Amino acid sequence: MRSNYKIIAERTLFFLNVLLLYFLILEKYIEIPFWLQPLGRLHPMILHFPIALLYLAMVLEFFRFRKEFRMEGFYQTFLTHLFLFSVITAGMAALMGLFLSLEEGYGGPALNWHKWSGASIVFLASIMYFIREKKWYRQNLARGGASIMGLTIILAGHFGAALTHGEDFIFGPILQARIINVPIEEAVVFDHLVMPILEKKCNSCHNESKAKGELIMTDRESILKGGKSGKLFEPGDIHQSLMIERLSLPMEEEEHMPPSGKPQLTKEEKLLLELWIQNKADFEMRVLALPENDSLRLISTNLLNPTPEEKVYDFDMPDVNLLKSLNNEYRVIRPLSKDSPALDVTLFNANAYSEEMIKELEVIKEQIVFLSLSKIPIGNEELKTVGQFENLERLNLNFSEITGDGLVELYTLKNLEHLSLSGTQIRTEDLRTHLNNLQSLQTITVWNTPVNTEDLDALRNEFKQIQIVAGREGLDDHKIKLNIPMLKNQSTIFYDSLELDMGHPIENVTLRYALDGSEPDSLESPVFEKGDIWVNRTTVINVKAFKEGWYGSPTATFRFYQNKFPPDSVALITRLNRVHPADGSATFFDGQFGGFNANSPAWANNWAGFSKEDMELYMEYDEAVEVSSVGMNVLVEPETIIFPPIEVEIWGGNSKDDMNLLGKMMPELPQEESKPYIQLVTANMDPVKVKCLVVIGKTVKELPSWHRNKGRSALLLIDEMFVN
Amino acid sequence: MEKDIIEHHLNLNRRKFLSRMSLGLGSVALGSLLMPDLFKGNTQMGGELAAAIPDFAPKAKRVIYLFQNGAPSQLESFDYKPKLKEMLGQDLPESIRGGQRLTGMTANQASFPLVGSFSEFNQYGESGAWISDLFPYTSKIVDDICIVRSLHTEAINHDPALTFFQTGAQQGNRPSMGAWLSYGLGSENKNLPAFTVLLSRGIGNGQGVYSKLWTNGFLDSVHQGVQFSSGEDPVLYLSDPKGMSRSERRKILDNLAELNHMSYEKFGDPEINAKIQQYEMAYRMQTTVPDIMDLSKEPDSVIKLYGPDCLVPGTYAANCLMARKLSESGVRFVQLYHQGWDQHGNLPYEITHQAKDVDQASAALVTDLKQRGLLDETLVIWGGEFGRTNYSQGKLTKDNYGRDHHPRCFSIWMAGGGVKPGIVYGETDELGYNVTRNPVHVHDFQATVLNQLGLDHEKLIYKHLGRRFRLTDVSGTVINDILV
Repeated sequence: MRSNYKIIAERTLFFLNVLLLYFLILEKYIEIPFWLQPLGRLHPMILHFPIALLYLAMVLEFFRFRKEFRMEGFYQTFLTHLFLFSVITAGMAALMGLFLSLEEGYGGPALNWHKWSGASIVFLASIMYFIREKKWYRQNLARGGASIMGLTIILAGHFGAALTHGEDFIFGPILQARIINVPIEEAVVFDHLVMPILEKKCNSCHNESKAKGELIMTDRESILKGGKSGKLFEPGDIHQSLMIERLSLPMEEEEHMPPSGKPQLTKEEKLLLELWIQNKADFEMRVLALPENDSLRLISTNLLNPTPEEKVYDFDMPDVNLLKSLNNEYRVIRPLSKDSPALDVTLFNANAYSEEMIKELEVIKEQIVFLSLSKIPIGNEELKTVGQFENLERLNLNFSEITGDGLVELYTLKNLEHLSLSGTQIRTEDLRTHLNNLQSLQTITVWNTPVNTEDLDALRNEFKQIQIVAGREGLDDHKIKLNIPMLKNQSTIFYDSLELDMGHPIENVTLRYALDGSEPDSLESPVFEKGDIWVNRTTVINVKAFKEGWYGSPTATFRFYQNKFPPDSVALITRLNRVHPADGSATFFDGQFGGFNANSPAWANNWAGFSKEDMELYMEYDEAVEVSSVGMNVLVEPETIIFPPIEVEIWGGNSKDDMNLLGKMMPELPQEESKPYIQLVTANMDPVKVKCLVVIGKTVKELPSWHRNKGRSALLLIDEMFVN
Repeated sequence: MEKDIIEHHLNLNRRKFLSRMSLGLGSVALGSLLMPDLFKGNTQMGGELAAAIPDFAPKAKRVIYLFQNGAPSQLESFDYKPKLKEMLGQDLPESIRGGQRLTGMTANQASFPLVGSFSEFNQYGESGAWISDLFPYTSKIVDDICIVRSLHTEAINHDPALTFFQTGAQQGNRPSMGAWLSYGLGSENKNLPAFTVLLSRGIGNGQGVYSKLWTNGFLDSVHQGVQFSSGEDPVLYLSDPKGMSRSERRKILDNLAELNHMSYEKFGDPEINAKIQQYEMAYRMQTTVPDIMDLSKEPDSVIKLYGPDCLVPGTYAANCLMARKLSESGVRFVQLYHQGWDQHGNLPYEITHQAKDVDQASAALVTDLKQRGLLDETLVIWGGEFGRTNYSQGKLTKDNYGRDHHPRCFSIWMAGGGVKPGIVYGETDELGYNVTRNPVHVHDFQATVLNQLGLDHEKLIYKHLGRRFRLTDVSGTVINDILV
């Protein structure tokens, strides 16, 4: 019994066949109306159904006459329905495909093959369907038919894929790798740089089979011809070039190329196309014919010589547990990278070294490529073991105890490229003997060895293929200036007397000094010896350092301040400047000096400042003291309006309410813009016994006329005070 | 309190469960992506610091970063702009400024008078790079360095800019570059920290440097930078108190570790393990550090190379020499800061001194590494946090001027570590205001540094507070053009 649905389906199939045949014959005269076009574009989606379904049907058909299936009712019924359904889908897919192919841009041999193989599938399968119930349709016919169908489906599928993805889609990755390998001397900009970009990013839609926009970009002639919208480019003018315009459009634009969803050109690729067109779009131009600094040449060289891939080692991965057992705090073994079998070995700490530490490495002798034994006291004996590390590329023996004879052991290292021998006892003759036997050697360092400058020139001449590094030569004879002497005293403020202590960071330096403010000289001035100088009053000392083979140092000036009567308590009567609060009233006797650059908050720490108000400081003693001078250390930096006080007054007495003016003085003021300096302002008076003191420092209220901020008030900065 | 502990255990179990599941599914990569610490080994103990392994074979094993804090002027160092001299005193055209925001220090300035460099420039080396007279020693090593003139940043003030350079974000609390490297590569020498910091300052206007710049951020605290200072105690609290012998110290540490293990068992906080490791490392550092600090064994030629100041503790030269010693001993990242480059005013005077402070020693460091065969595997970087304006801040006089902060272009140099030597990369316009060719963003720079150390900046991530963090945040491209 035949169901109604089946009859309808069979008729549909017949109708589809007729329709397909009709369109195939009259193809040239047909124009697809635009509302039917979406149907055609569904082809790439629909076609997967018939492929899968037909395959299943053909497999079942192949085994249909087997004994165990012949009597199986379900098998037979299911197959018949499946066969019918899949042929119908095939017919629909074929029709849609035909519509699609009639849109502009498709053509060429691939399309023809696809079209006819696709149509054959439909016809062949339909015929098979209609004859498969005949008596003469037997096993052989079924098997033959099914096999032919299978092959045809593969064929049609393959050509269809070629249309969508481009002809070399499958083997593309392999083919591209081949293209890159062009030596720069032979490289032609178009063939080896431009074309690969087109192949990769354009040709899948612009080829002979599928020429979207009537544009073909697979050969020079077609490229020059351009497409429907005109010529691709105007040689030498990227602004008149359609191709660049399309490439540069924003992604959202319909016209942007490659279309959204397809792989886009990288910045570099686009730049290369632009530069090529700018350079007259010359098809024959060689990379090396371009000027050396030409952008096109630079970018081409870069593309042709990409950063070398990571070196591949063909020896075995080391055993992880073995590595773990060899690794310790003083012998660090690490793989070069996550998947690399190559190892980088470094030994640390000379004190922890024993010969065993090298011997034990023999188990991984194949894998060690980098070995650093810098400052490890290894000798020639251990080099015998090192000589077995056959894949060693980099060996650091700086400051080790090896000698020239040991280099014999390294002859076996066929891959050794870098050898560091700085700070060893290697001699010129050792290098002469051995360098030729280290075949792969590229660089060797011999700084701080007995090899001297003259020998180096000769060696470099002799071994031109090896870079011999020796640091900045001639420094030993080079005369440079010593740096200034250092003061070793913890504090330069003292109560009664102080033993002066000075030094110099460089050994065996002579320090000469002068106490009268003059510059010490290298012959006459007294030499400083520890214990020589005791100061018992405020003193300025000038010191210079001298050493054979060096120029004398600049003069260092050290000041020592006596502070016999630091007060027992101090209080500020006026307020400190906001930026320079320092440590409040404690600042003045804390023994901390300030530095220059006091206007920068980070440096202002030790300077107490007064700007609008005068300085008024109250000091008190538990026991009366006999005072004869009060000094204050001030910073002078005219440029940033830091000035000394214009006048200092000292008041004193036995109590707060009983004070007399003891003395006053006018400090020297700067007369012009000058570098910053530090000035000790001291008011002297007749000795008098007091319990209380008030110091008044009057700030400069109007800057002098030469100053660029004339008229403004100045800033007074004080770090320390001294009462004697 | 008890509730907290229970909660912690619960969290731990959920985490473990999730990570196991991801392993069970065979998605090892996914697992490590979700939990970067997964393979660090939860049970690491004692001296075994996590030795992470690079993604690909590195060009550089170590970095020495000579940070010029305060932002040195590119116009008085490596970016030669003769046009500025011709246009002396003329106003910066608005079209060039292009809406660049200004700092509060010059925003209200009535005019922006252009000013050229007071120092002369000459060409040096095979590359013919233009270098200012202020850097005579650097010009001698020009064929060993790669000058990048097209760096640009996003910040216009010191602290955010510095933080951006060091951590990839302008706000604090992210891990510093050195901490990321320590996290990604582990320590080379287990007797020293992987990340150390050295400070110095010149007489120029200075800006603060805070420990947040060498923070481990949300990474394990073993990755934090350790500051070495000058003076008797180079590493604070490292030496034993008077009267304590080394064996006593050992005993104390062992007992302390036992207690710490007990509390780890109880609380499960991985920071406890980090603490134990830090104690152990400090114990080993007690013997290695004095060796490194001892400069008396350096030959005379080294002293002459760096300049005699290298023996004065706390100077930039001494820090450069120390940096070489630390790096030579396997410290992954040595970070120097030299303060005092913030020349808003009085530029000619201050920058002369600043340049004098750093020029000889920086060049010496490169030469010294080279003569030891270490330059190939050590990346040296010299540069500040941003550039300086091409117009004068404050009054422009015949021989005095200042320059304000400028983020749009500035120059740095790099040497060794697989960076192409003897090249100049990037260009700015003829007024030195905008980059015209090959711009390098701070994140590009950071990506490049990580790349040289064998790390993919997009893979070096750490999940924190539900987000995956990178040094380069969400951008950054490796600058392949400057790589060998």
